[in-house]
Amino acid sequence: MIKIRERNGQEEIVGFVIIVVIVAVVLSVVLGVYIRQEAPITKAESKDVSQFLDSAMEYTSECTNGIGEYFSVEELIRECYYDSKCNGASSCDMLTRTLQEMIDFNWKIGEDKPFKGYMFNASYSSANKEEILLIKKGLCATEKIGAEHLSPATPGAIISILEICS
Amino acid sequence: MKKIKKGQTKIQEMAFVLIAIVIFFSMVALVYFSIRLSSLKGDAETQREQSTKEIIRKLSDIPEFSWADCSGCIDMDKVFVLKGKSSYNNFWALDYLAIEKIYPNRTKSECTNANYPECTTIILINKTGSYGSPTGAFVSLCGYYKEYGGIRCELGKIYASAKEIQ
Repeated sequence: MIKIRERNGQEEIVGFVIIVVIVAVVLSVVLGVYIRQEAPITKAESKDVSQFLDSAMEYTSECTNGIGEYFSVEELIRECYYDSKCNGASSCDMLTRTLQEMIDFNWKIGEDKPFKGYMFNASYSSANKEEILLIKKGLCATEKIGAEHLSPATPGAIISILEICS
Repeated sequence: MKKIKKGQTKIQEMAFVLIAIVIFFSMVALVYFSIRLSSLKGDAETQREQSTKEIIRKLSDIPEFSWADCSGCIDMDKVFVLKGKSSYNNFWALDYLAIEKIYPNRTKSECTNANYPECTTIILINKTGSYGSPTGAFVSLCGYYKEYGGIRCELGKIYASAKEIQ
């Protein structure tokens, strides 16, 4: 009689262990799949990037209009769209150099730094969309923070987008 | 009598198994919710930081600071004049308020009558005591530069701190 009781108890323990093992295996499979899944690219609006972009657009560049007035970065994007010259050189080259310097200086970007890369894109949008300038640096794998700035350029508008990747 | 006892034991065993399963799943749920909650706390912190930056940037639009030609631009001359005004000592309910030029890169120095405008930082309020590290927001710093032959806007940051906005 005692033997039968012991046997029953043992069977129940074995059953419980099996249930626990099955649940653990299922959980680890689910967890494994979840971890292995490539994280989707997420983009969030950032006040910091937005404020930086707005302020950068007002920055006075080294580019003059011929009568001694200096262009702001916002005006320089427009000049780049019209493919005009700046101090004898291409306004787009000057714009690229100014923006790169500004972004590199203010956002710590690099493989071993908090931000892994960035992307700046300016395009003219009217009936169609035309790309004016694209600057890329580093890696943009998963998470991005970004903002956009709109400048009027009749009949359309110039949309500048800055994305900082972490 | 023996049958009843056996049934009771069975019910007891089943109850133990059920309790064990409930404990197991509640532990899993506890881990899941603690992870979710910590990410939620992070989101709330980011949100709070972003609104603080927004409030600080709004300071650039007050008449005492603002540059007439653009929103979010600060007139450096106005700020420098304010630095010496004792009537403004308790105008802002802040413990720290400073404006700093950050791009183009220069050697950091506090602005005085002797070195202005060839300096980087104007500290308007700097109370002693603990008020945490100041929060900064990007702004444009504009002014008339003789050597430049006109108006120039540079990239800067406005820093503020107060016990109330910590």
